[in-house]
Amino acid sequence: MTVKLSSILVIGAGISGIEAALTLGEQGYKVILVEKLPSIGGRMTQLDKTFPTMDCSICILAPKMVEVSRHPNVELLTYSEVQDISGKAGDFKVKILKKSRYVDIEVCTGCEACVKKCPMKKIKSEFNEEIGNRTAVYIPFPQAVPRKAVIDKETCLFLTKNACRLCEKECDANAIHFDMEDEIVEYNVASIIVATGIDLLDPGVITRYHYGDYSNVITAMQFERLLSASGPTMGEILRPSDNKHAQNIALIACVGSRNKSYRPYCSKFCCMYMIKEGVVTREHSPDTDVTIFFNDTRVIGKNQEEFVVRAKEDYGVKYYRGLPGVVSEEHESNDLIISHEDLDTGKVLTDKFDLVVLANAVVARKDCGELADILGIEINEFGFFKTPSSIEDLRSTREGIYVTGSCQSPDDIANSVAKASGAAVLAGSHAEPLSEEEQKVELPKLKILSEREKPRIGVFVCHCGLNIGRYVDVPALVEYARTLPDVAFAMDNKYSCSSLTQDIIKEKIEELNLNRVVVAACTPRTHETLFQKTIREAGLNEYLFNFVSIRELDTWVHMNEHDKATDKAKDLIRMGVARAKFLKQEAKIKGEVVREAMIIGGGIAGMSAAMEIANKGFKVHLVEKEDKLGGQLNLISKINFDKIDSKEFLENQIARYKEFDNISTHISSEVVDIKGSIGNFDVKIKNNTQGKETKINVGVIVLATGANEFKPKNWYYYGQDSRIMTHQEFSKKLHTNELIDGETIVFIQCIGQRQTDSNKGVSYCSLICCSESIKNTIYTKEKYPNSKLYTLYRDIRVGTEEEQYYWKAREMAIYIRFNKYPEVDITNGKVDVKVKDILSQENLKIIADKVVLSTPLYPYENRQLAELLKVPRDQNGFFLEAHIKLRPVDFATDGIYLAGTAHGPKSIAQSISQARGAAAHALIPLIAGIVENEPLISIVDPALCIACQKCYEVCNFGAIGVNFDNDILVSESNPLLCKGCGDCAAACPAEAITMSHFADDQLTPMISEALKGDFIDERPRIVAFLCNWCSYAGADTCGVSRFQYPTNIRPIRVMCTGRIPKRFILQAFIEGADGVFIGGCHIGDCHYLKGNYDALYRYEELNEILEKVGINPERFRLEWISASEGKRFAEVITDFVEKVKEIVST
Amino acid sequence: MIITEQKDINEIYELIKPYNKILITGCDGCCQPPRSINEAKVLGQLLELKARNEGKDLKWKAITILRQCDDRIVATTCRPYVEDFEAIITMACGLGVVMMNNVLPKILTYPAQNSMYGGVQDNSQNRYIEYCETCGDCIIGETGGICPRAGCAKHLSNGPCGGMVQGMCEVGGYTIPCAWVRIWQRLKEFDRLDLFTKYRGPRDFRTSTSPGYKHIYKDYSNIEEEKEESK
Repeated sequence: MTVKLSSILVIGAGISGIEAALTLGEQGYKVILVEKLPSIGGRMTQLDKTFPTMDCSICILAPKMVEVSRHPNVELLTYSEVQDISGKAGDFKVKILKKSRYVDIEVCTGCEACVKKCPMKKIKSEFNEEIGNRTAVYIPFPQAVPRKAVIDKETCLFLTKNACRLCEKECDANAIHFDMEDEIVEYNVASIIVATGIDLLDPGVITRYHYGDYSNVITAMQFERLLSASGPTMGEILRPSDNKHAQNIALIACVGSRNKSYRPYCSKFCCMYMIKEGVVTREHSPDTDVTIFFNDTRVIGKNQEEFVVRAKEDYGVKYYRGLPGVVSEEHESNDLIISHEDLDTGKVLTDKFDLVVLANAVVARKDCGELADILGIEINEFGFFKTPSSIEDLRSTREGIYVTGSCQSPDDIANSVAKASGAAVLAGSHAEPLSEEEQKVELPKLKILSEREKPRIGVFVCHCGLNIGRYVDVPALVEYARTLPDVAFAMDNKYSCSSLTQDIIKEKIEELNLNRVVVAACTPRTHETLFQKTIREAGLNEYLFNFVSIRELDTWVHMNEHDKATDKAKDLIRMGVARAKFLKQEAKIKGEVVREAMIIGGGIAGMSAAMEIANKGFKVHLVEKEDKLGGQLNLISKINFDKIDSKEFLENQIARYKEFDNISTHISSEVVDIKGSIGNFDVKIKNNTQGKETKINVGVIVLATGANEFKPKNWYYYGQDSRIMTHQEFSKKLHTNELIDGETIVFIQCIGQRQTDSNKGVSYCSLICCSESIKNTIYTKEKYPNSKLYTLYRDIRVGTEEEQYYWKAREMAIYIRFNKYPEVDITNGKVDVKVKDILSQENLKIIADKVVLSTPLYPYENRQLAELLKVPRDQNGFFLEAHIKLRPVDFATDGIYLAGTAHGPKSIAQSISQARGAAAHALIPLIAGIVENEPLISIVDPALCIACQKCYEVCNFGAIGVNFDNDILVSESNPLLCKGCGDCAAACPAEAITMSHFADDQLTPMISEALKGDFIDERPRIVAFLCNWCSYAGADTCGVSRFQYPTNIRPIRVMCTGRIPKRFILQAFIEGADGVFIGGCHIGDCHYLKGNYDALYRYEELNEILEKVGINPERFRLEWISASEGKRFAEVITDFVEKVKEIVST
Repeated sequence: MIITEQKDINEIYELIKPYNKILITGCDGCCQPPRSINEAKVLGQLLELKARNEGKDLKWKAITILRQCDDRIVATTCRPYVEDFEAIITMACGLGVVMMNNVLPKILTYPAQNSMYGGVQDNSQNRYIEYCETCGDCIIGETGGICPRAGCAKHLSNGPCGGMVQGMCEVGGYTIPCAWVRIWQRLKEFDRLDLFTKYRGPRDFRTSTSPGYKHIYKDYSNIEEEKEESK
């Protein structure tokens, strides 16, 4: 037996590549992640928001970027390209070119001193889509990972003209080396995942829209940057010609897409991002008009149809069917004029717009062909990487090489993420995870710290070159720190993050027997783990460390107020020391995992997931309620347009499935009881034919319960007249040759779906019915060439590659678009279909022989399962994933995963890829054998608990609540499920819950200290509670961008705004705060799903009372500030300080 | 559980205005929403701010009591504190206020809550609903598990009345479903409409328990006399 390799190569570090790398890294494989650009993150970093949830794009992506860069199993090669590949699946040899950055990223601190000195200020910024400028030495964007400088050798004065070298002199860290050379590194990998993403078509080639000629015609990506709070205009929509606010914006769809002269395929996600941009624009400035010109609104995923309706109805985005022919410009004003037809009324309108945004076609990257040659894989007719068939999204044409994300076919973020995990599980099948020993890091024995031991705190203050040292008096800070109680030692360092300082810290812990360490430097978001690691290496528990941010939160934002900034730094250090005193040792939570999995649902998704898990050698139990496997595949005949025979495909799959002897299949069975949590679920399965109950014990569960076609009883005479049928029934007749040639057949789309009125059906779009009807059109015409076919539709929604078949079908059938649903009557035995065609505005009557209805895909009954597992369902009855964009295969509750149409309507290929993704995530705990959780968890004191279940109500992860299986009924926190938001600790009426590491006794001293500070008489004094993920990150972004604001705030970091109980706020007011500020994630963006709703609730309750007790409610403010809204953070704080100053002075 | 609503902070402040040292007691019993130590502390902080605003220095302490409707628990928990404070404010329902005054006769206890009704928590709609009026004459056995006395605005024994339109009650502007329609639906589901059509006489108010006293255990002190009488 040959030993399998453990390494896997991932090419491209956009969201798909990052997700693949993280999944593999978590499974224990060694991952080499190669990114061509200086920072990872890909296209998603440039986006402002993501549809349909309007999450801030960078806010949800940045934590993933940081996670992948820190992952011990992931080796990150940025600014690198794959040069050569040889070998075969299981043993590839890869040559990677590491381009020289001319900056040593080990030494670079990301201070940007070089950027300021660089004389080349007018280089078009790629990140801002050429709207803004950058320098020759630059950091691509504030949240870049790694956040290190890079020198662009094309524009650098020294590298092109041998002059300058200013940056080299400016760099205190000596990070810049102009003699650095390109390097070639070689790896042996078992398999390869390609996730190189996309390019966008230059819209200039479509001359009638005059992109490039008229400055106010921009691309959607440029518009995205204009909308972004961290973009070149700070989120203001200023049009390029005169920098004036655009009041009237037109967005044009299908610029190059679905067009035979340019790109014949559909770019898939443009419709949705245009709607998103429309909504964001209307949210930013409600008096700005947004008009969207489109062909069909193509939604591509869950909850998106509802979003389209909301955009129209709630946000007033205007839609016009049909694309304008030409855009022309008015002289002087540079306004743009568009003539277009209103298809709903048939009139031709001429409108004037300030700004025109083009949704330009998605195209394969220009180096796709080159990379395909290197990898020895094929590309398809459109230039994207080819897969063997239409039901395979992930395999390339070469074994061992897998494709994911948009480089295979344009796809949205959610699908790209699901596909990435799916590709990971396939890539993992060629490799063996690293053994426990190989992943283990040797650490010295932990010092035991007894409760009684007096705190001995070491304080290290960083100069960060001049970044801190220039703006505050660092030696004075050190002097001050020495005077604080329990501080045993204090010193300053030029760079606290340098390896030299790490050695000093370790030495001092040893020498002075320090038992707590405080570092005052940049920001915990990037550097906390470094120092935690250092003190752990000196034998101190990681959680005895406290970070004080005096760069992002102080010196960078108070650059002109030396004294006040110094005083603020003293306060911040005093607050940090006060918290450090109460820090406790915490240990990672570990739980054993039963190395078996259960899959519920034996359709194609369930079977695919089962096979991937079994393939890694784990026992799988598959539960299917019918008496045979295959689910919906049993009911259809031909799959997709490449006419894959469904029966044959299913037989092959079942044959492969049966080869795994570690899968036990429970047919005709249902799950009747589930108890437990990740790692250990006790499940009872009941066989419905024998009535026998089986008990199994599994570590993870995958839900793939599927959906089926809705039968519209009594609608349109369905069920009353045999000539009215659904597509599934029609397609069966078609393949069993039960039709007669020469008949008139009418297809009616969207029956009982996309309805705003719940009495008339469901609100979502089932996504697959359009393809189904087109497929049936083509098949009918092939078999029965004399048939007359009509398709009555609202929008035709097909996938990228399916567009060409739609054109073919349009030649075979008459397509009639309607606004008002057609009527079907049976008179004198004849079926009459009446419809108003919106193109001709004529009422038409068709005498039909058959009417075929497209009905929604409806989830199977899953309420009981949802209740047993405590997992949520959405308003349509589909299971609701943890995060609609970034966690499409997980539930918020760990250990339970989701695949197939139980999640939402989707195609067979998508079901298979998603099932593989679910398998990949389920394999993480199975391979590890243990689950680990950060010790940031809630702990219940059973003596104080009153079993009121308030904690259960606020917890979004099913982690806490009364355990009714116990003898004593008190609340219990499951440390393996707790995510550490602390919402329950704030909600507990009995103060029975302690949030470890952010406990009351650690936070209340910080509040007290924030209000002391006897050396200044600075008023107003404001305590600011900032949530780690958004507002604290926003404050960091603000610091990085050097937006200045008053020194009056004293920030306290909490994990979530939900952590803040009323008593913290009242304490601050009682102890003398002039103002209290809470900054959290925007509603809907909460890292803990809904913690900010609880914060809002508490805020409003308190706000009502404050005035009555003599506190002006304006002294208390709650704001949602995202990680990218640095500018806004500064504005909000400035405004709040001014307001409070005004109130206090009167 | 007993559903309560906190009084306006000004009203509470007026009650304790004459005092400088107060004890605030939470209740860990069935009071909903729960009013335990956290709420007691928040009330203390609010009163302190209010007092400060009026130029007064209010001293307070917050404690919580397992159940304020149990005299022994109240006595053992509160007695150590009584000497140090001038008045008590309780976060419990009316039962708690009366019990505290009863058990601790030397100090006055003031309510911080208005007691509303006996109700349950409806998690799906995030509200508390009155389910039972504690009338002392339960007819739920005939009404499919839905109480028409607590559920019907007119406390009807035979409904619905003419104020029902499309299943909704006129009281409250047709926002609350008519209890009697729900009763009909539920009985129909179990094929027990015979119970629905059954005539129920006027409510017997003699069973009403206000003011109520009921022995926990049967009083056997005059058992001999009873025996004699029955003979």
